[in-house]
Amino acid sequence: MINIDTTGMICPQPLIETRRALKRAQEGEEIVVIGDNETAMNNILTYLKDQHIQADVTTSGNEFTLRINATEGFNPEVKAEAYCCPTPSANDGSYVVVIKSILMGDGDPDLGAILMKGFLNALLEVEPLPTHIVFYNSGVNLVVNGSGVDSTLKELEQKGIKIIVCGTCVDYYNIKREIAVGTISNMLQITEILKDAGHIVQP
Amino acid sequence: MTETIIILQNIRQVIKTEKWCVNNLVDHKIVPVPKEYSSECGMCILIQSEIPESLISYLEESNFTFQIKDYKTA
Repeated sequence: MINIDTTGMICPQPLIETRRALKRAQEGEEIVVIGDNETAMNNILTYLKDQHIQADVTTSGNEFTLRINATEGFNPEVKAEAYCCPTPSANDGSYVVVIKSILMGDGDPDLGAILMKGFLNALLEVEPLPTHIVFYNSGVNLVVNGSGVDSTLKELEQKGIKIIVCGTCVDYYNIKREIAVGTISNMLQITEILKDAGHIVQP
Repeated sequence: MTETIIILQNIRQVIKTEKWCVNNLVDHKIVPVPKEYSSECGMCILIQSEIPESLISYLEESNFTFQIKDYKTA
C-alpha cells in the first residue's frame, strides 16, 4: 500500500503526487491519498475516471480520503497538468494585491497618499483576504517603520498574508534597515506570484 | 480597547488632521468611514486610544466641523 498525504497542497500538486504513486505502484496495489483541497480531489477523480481507474472516496469536512486500486488502465503519458486549471488559484476566489506606488491613483499626492492608507486599512476588514501583497517601485516605502501603515501590514502578515517586497526597489530607495514588515524578494518570485494569481487587485 | 473615529467634513480636513497626528506622534489610522455613518466614499481618522485633548483643540482651532463616533466596521 502507498500512502500519500497532500494536506495543504493546492492543485496540481496532489494530482502530480497521485500520478507518481500510480507510476510506481504494483498492479492491484492500493494507493491511499488524503488531502484537504476539494478542487484537487475532483481533479484527481476526473483524471482517474478518464483512465477507468476505480477509486473510493470518503470525505469529512474539508478532508478527503481516496482509495485507489492501481490497474492496467493507468497511462503514464497522460499529464496531470491537463486536469488542472492553468492558474491554480483562479477558482477559489484568491487574489494578489499589487502596490506599485505610495499613492492610490494619479493626481494630488496628498490625496493619493491618504487613499492608499485607507485602502490598506480597509483590506483588514475584507473577506477573503488576499494571499499576497506585493510591493514594488515607490510602493516599498510603505513597508518601512513610520509609514503610517506599517502596523496594519504587520496585522495582515499575522493573518497569514505574505508581504512581498521588491529587493531591487529596497536597494534603490536605500531603506533596507528601515523595513518593518515583509520578505524581501526578487523579480523571479514576484513574477511567479503574479503569474499564478487568480486575479490581481491594483489600487 | 477604545476605538473612536473622527469624521470630518471633507478629505482636505482629513489630510490636514492626519499630518497633525503624524507631526504630534498621535497613533492613528486612516480608514473608510463605516457604512452606518455615511454611504459616500470618505476617509476618517481612527484613534485606538483616548483622543488627546490637544487633537480636539487642533480641530476646534482649525474651525473644522467634526464628529466623534464609536468605530464599528460594517
